Amino acid sequence: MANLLSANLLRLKKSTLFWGTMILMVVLGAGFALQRVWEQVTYAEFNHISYIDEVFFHYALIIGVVMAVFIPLFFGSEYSDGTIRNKLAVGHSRASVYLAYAVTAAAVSIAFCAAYIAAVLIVGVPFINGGIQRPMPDFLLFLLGSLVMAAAYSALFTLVTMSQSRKAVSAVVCLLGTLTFLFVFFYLRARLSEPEVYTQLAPDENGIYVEYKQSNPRYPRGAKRAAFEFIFDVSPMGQSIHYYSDYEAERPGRMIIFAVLLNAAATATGSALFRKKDLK
Amino acid sequence: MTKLLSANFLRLWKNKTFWVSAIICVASGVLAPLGEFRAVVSMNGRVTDLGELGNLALLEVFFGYASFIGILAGAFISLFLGTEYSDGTIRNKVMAGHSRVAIYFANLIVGFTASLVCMAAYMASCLAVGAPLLGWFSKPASLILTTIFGSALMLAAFCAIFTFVTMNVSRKSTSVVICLLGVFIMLFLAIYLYARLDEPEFIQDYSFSVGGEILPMEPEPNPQYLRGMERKVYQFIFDLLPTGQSIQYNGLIFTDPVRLMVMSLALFVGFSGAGAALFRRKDLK
Repeated sequence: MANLLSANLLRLKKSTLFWGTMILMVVLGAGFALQRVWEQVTYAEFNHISYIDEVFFHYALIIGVVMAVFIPLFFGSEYSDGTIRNKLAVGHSRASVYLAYAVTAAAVSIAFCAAYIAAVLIVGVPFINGGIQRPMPDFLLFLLGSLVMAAAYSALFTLVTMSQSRKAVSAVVCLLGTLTFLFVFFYLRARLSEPEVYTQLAPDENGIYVEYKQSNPRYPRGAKRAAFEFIFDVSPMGQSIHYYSDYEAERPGRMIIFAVLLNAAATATGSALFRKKDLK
Repeated sequence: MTKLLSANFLRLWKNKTFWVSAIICVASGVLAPLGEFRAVVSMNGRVTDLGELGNLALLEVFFGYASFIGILAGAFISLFLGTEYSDGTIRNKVMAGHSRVAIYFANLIVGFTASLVCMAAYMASCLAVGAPLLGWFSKPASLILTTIFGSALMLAAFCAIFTFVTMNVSRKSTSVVICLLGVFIMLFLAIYLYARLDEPEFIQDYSFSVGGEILPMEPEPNPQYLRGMERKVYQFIFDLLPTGQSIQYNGLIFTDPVRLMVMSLALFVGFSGAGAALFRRKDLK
């Protein structure tokens, strides 16, 4: 196992894809933070205050797409280059080969997030005037939750990539799946945040404008609402949108537990599928 | 060229990705009118006169393919044509004496035809399920035909771009990533442009009078509204992007179809010409 992990790490160290993505994350982190600094300078006369956490958790939205590209390309070559067969031929068990991939994938996703975070902090701490806005416990909870979510993405994509010997097909499944679900969940979120009752302004029979209250038929109620919330919380894409756009955690414990369970389930399923897979 | 085309089509009919794409189109063509029917029913309570309610409803979903056909074409073309590299088919074709330009255009044609088949599959299944449920089209046939023709040209532009990428990148998985990420980035850009172009010119606000009455205020100009040159540039990019066109055809919100068609044609010619020229010089190893 230790040998397998160090072999993966060695490949990572030499991978241009890995370093390219690292640089991308740093550029994005620094770019978003600089944008806040720029806003601060532009609106200085209005005493504009920017906060680090306005951009801090943007990686939650980016990491899914980044990993959906990285894992199929990086681990997929193990199939196309025959590395997997070599690893088995020298006597490693399939379970440990799979586990080494899963651990590497989780570590890489956290490293990408860390690169983004480091860039935001390096630019943000000295130059963003408002500092961190959230109370520290909330902030740390978001941080923990989003990192577990990043690992859950990796576990899912590892499952897809390792149970499918064609690299290009895994790339399509991971990337198309992530982007499509992100779209669906943005829609779901819009539905969930519809007002239950809305007020309209309209002239009455005397021509005077009055407020009318109306129940919103698009507001999901009861079991439907619970189902929407469940799908939103359980999927990494829903969690991405939550960590990216919410200020307060609504159901933090539940989300973290779901992400941990997803990690475990995806890794167990993936390793079971990989054990039975015909490697030719 | 005929031989290349017949070889390509032979491979197409046996290709799993093609059939999966076609099935996705048929399935969404069936589901879209069913969803619309449910929405119409829930909005109007009980439906008594299907024809009357349905008139607009069929048009709401009939051009739904425009919203996703580009994404599907991106996945299909990069997988289908990318295999030619990974399996060495391209080298064989060159060795058999076919010109590179002919190979390029035969591939472009097969990709475009397959995408058209998918588009037709959506329309056919949507019509088969939608027409009995939601009634026939309420708009003139000329508008329907213009939209179909325009969206086919939009699809041609998409295919030209994806063929350009796939034929000039030797690694299939890299082409897949470039095509899919590219189409989503173009889609996000188009949505942003549309949101900006769609801003109202004036903002209507209300105020409370002394007696608690609510009065409409003088409309104020919206600072977010794009004016002059800036608006023209935004509109140009929105019309030029195939994803911008897909938003317009999907929602039937275009005002100048000829302009959109000319832009698609320009993209098609530009990308095909550039792609074939690059491919001619490419080192195939």
